[in-house]
Amino acid sequence: MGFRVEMIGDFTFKEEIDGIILDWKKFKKEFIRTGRTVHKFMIDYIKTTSKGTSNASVKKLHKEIDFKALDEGFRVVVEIGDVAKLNTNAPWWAIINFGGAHPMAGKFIPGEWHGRKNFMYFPGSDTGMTIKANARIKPINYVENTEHFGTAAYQRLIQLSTTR
Amino acid sequence: MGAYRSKRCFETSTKDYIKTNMVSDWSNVNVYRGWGNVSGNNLPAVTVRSGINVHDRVELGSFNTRRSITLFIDIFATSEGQGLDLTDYLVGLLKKSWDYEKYTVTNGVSTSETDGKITCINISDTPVNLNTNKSELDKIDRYRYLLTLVVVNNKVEV
Repeated sequence: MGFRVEMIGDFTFKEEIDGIILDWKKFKKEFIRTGRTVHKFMIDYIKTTSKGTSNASVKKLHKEIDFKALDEGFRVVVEIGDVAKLNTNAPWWAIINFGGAHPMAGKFIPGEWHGRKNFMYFPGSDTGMTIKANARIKPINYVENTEHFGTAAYQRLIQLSTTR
Repeated sequence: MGAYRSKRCFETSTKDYIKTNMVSDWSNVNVYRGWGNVSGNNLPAVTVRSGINVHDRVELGSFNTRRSITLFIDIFATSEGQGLDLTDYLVGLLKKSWDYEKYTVTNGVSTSETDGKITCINISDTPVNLNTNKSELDKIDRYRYLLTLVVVNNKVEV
């Protein structure tokens, strides 16, 4: 799992339960909204910082990082990204996150350039490009950075909810 | 005369702290700031980089903030055992606190002055798995580990 937070409400005093449930409902809404902010942070972070990788692979990665929110009464869970799913559908998530030698380093890729930024892949074409033999992809650590951002965001939410 | 701002001070102070300890405890381990200096010829190596910074308000009604910063310690080892040992050694070293230095560069010569302590709030220890067979990987990427630290320097930034 990329990032997962879970909160369980433990209510035992009957006389206070009506008031608590109202607050708990508001809290759950905020909890899920914070999760969406963290998810957006991760996607935006990849968009703005990934370098040395093709646009297509980055776009596919965005689509595979999904957001799940589970509201089960006294339990609320937010999950961002599923490593098992990423390993199958976008295994290059790791090289974008941790950095490393370019998987196509030293190889010829057939195709042609459209402008300075877009390279179109055409199998069998005589023209194309060769990725430098020692090319390395710079790490952006979007998983670890999102963990820090997410932890701070949830800490802030809990602080606000408990000091009201 | 130029002075490093906070992010570079965090990175460089941590690099210097690791380097000073490495000299006495390990032999031939290179320590760098930034990721670009490592190649197949200078392994084993340890690098220090910074990630996101979170600036939280100190109190309501004030613009003052307290910064927490993510530091990435990349370990590039030459064998699995060496990587595991280096990781554990660094966790032991970095869970303590170390000096926060303020750096000034004059005519290409950098000098530093201690200005507080860097304290580690938490450490995550991750073996780097690039979803590729080890034999197909570049020499540099074969035995890699990543330590992610969230640190603070206990200073209010005005």
